Amino acid sequence: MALEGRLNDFTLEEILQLIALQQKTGVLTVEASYPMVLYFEGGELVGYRDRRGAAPDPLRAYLKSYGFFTAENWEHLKFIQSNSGLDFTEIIINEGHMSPEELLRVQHDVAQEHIFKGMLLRDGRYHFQSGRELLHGIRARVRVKVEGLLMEAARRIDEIATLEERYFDGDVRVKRTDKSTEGLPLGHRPLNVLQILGEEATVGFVEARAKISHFDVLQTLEMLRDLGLIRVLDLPQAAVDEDELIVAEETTRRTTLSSVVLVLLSLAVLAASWWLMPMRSYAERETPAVEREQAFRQDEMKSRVQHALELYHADKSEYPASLNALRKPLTLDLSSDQLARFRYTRDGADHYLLAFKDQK
Amino acid sequence: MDHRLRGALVCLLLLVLFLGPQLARAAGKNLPAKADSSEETQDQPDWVPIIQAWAQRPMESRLLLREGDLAREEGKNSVAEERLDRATLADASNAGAWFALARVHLADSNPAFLTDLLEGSQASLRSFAHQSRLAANLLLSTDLILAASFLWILLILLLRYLPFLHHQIRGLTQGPGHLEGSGLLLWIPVAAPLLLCLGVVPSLCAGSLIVWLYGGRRARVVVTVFLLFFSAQGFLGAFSTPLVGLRETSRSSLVQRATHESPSPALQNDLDQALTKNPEDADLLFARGLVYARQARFDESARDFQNVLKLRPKDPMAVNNLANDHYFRGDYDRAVAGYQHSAALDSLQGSTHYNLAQAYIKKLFFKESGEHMQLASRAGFELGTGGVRLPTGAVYYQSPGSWDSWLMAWHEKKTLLPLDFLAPWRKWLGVPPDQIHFWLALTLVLSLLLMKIFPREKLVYECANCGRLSCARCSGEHEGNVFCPACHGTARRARSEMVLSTLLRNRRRSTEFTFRSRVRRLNNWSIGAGELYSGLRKRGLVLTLLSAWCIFGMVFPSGLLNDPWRPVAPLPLLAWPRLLGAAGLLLLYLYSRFGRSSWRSRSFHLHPASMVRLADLMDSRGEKQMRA
Repeated sequence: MALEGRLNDFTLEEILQLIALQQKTGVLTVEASYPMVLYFEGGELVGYRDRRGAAPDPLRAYLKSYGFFTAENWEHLKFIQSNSGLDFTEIIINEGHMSPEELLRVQHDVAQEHIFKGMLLRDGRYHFQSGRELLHGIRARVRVKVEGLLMEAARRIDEIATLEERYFDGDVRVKRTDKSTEGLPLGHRPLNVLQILGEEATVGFVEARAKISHFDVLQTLEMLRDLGLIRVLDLPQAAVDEDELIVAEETTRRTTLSSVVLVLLSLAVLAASWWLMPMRSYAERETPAVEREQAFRQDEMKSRVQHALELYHADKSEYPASLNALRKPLTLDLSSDQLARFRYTRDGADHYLLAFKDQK
Repeated sequence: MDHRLRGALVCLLLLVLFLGPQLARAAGKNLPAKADSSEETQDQPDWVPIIQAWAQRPMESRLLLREGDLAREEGKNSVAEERLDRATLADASNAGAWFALARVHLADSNPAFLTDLLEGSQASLRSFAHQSRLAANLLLSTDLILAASFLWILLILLLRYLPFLHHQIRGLTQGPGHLEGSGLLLWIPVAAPLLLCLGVVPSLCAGSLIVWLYGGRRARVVVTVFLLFFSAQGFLGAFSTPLVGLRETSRSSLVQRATHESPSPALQNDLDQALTKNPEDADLLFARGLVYARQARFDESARDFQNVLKLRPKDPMAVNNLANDHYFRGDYDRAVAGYQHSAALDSLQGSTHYNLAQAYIKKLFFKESGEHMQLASRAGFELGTGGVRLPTGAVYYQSPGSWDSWLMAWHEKKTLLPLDFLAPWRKWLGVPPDQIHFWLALTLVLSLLLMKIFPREKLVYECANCGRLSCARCSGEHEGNVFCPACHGTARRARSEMVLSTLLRNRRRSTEFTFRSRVRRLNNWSIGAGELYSGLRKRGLVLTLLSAWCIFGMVFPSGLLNDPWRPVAPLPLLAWPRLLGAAGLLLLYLYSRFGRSSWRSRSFHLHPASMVRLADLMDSRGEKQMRA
């Protein structure tokens, strides 16, 4: 069975109520500016992370937005996830970033935040498909009653508008007053926010480190303001910090320079090597081996001419008048330049003298 | 008529009939000189023109071969067959004539071409000139193929040590960190001086030294075999002997030429020159004696053989040949004595017994002649075997066989080395050609000494996980295993066992995939190079050698050194040796490229070190897993 439609016709809270009331099992997909994938089992929410990885991970976004881990930890988690293929929850538990109980609590907060954001949607398409087999492959299951989530989300929707009137932007500065906290009934969350706040900080700064949701931060700040522990200042001036850009440009420039220097150095060494060649004179000097090789080549050439002369004599009963006569009929494979190196004299019909001109 | 008178007349008639010729012969001794000469001519032929004509038979055979070749080129097969047939008859040792005849018979679909091929092959194998030429070409071709393969294999081996060298050079110029691609440019200033300033041989030595000091066992063995093969060529006579036989003026060649070539003025001149340098050389004297004998100059020939016997008194061949000179001069008594002496020195020589039988016939000792003829037959003597058949009544000269010529070439010792043929390229060698073997041997000795003095420093490590090569400085240790920088970084980051094992396994898989694809690309580019790079596999060595052989066949199809009697023109582009080489190369490429993937990847177990189990966290890479 499938249920689908538009959110402006049938809102998310109505759909969720229907699913909870009917105790449905299946997947609800919301295609909107804030995409959602919710898994239900017997009317209870069991998962909110897209098992296919097609949609952004709400848990990851939540942890990143609210300062659960440092930048180094995130780099580490990103590296491991990209190289291992393990689920994000498995990694953070195995790597000791979070205990299982803590993760469970965080997941509940994430689900709450997720539903809260979903209920703010006014347009989009939803699609519910029932079936137990659709729940296969869900990682890091939770089990949250939908009714509780809806009630809390409804409360937040009511209050968030008032809070955001004061804390309308993350750059709103908040300053600690001189009032002491002693004797005040402050829990763990407000104390943590005060500690993060220090003397003075922006809302965004606090939010990025408080490890609680945006609504909770604003609510805590409002409570602290009511107690007189903090006060809201004016907006700060936007400051452009270009240090990182300068460093990056410097690094690129240095690398390019080193490559150019390397290329020039290579070419210089190549040219110097070609010009110097210190071993060449040593290698090129006349040695017995060179003499032997030259003697062999001369012998070989002379031998060819002698054999050609003998063949000519056998054919014509006399030796030729000149060596050039040997070339055509006998296909002597020596050039005229090579033949010109010989001194040839015919001595009667049956004798001849043959020697190299450079030989004495 | 009275029967007594009739009987007496018959007896007288019979007496006249039987005794007349004897009386006439007895009376003929006192006839005038002219009549004596004519009678002698009938019984004793004039050997001078016969021997001179006999000596010209090899030349006649070559002339006929040339005419036959020309006729064959013109398409006159019947004329060519006739000429070539005559050429083989004139000189049965003319292998070229047999092969040309086989070609003509093959064109005519005549099955006799098989016999011709057999005869030609036998003639080639019998001749020392052919043997030495074949051996020299084989040796030089092998040298060329192996040298090219050695250079290539060494380059591939050095590539394996690139991480270390790269790191060192990069560290000197730009500080640590050698993973930047621009660092590869540094190889140009490193390799250029080595190749251009020092030359190929010093570069080869330096490369061999690096491989020897830092390489594995297999790399060392391969480099050692190559170094030994090439350095031995300067020290061992076995490598120079075929090349010595190749020289027309070497002693062994001169002796062979004196036997098989026409006694030309050139040969005479070469022998005289050689004897001027070594007047006491018995082999050269023997050769000149043979040349004189084949020119029918029996007096000079006898003088040379006598000189040989002064130097080697118990040389049966020289004794026999001296007796031949006596025989042809008509001195049968001395000839018989000579043959008997020669037979006593070597009773198994068939031609000696044949010659003795001929001499006995001249002396009318028919019984003894028959006995020695039987001995010659038993010793395997056949008329005209392996040479030109002389007219009836002639005797045969003996000459050293090809084995004796090989021995002579062996004893001449290094008048020409295989490495001497590199002389035209000495500018690029970097060292004189006659010092190459010293350099290579020195490299080997130096490698051994350095290895003994310094402990082996392993500079390049295979990553225990992915098998990637990394230098000692970059590699890291993790729980007793050496990892490449990337794997080490991965292992260092992981804090839990499950994450560690998963990360390493995934990284190993991706690295292996990358490495395999790179190796395949390398193999496609150069056959066998991938296997060589992945650890000097046997298959890579074999493929490299085979491809080098095919390339050699394509580039040098006609061999290096030709027979001066049959100069071979450069082959055309589509000659069959080139096509054969190209086909072989194509087959190797297809085998390497499209062979069954299991064959190709069988040798790509690239990283044996990655079989190491990392604290039982990683599953081992078994054969089945690799195939899967």
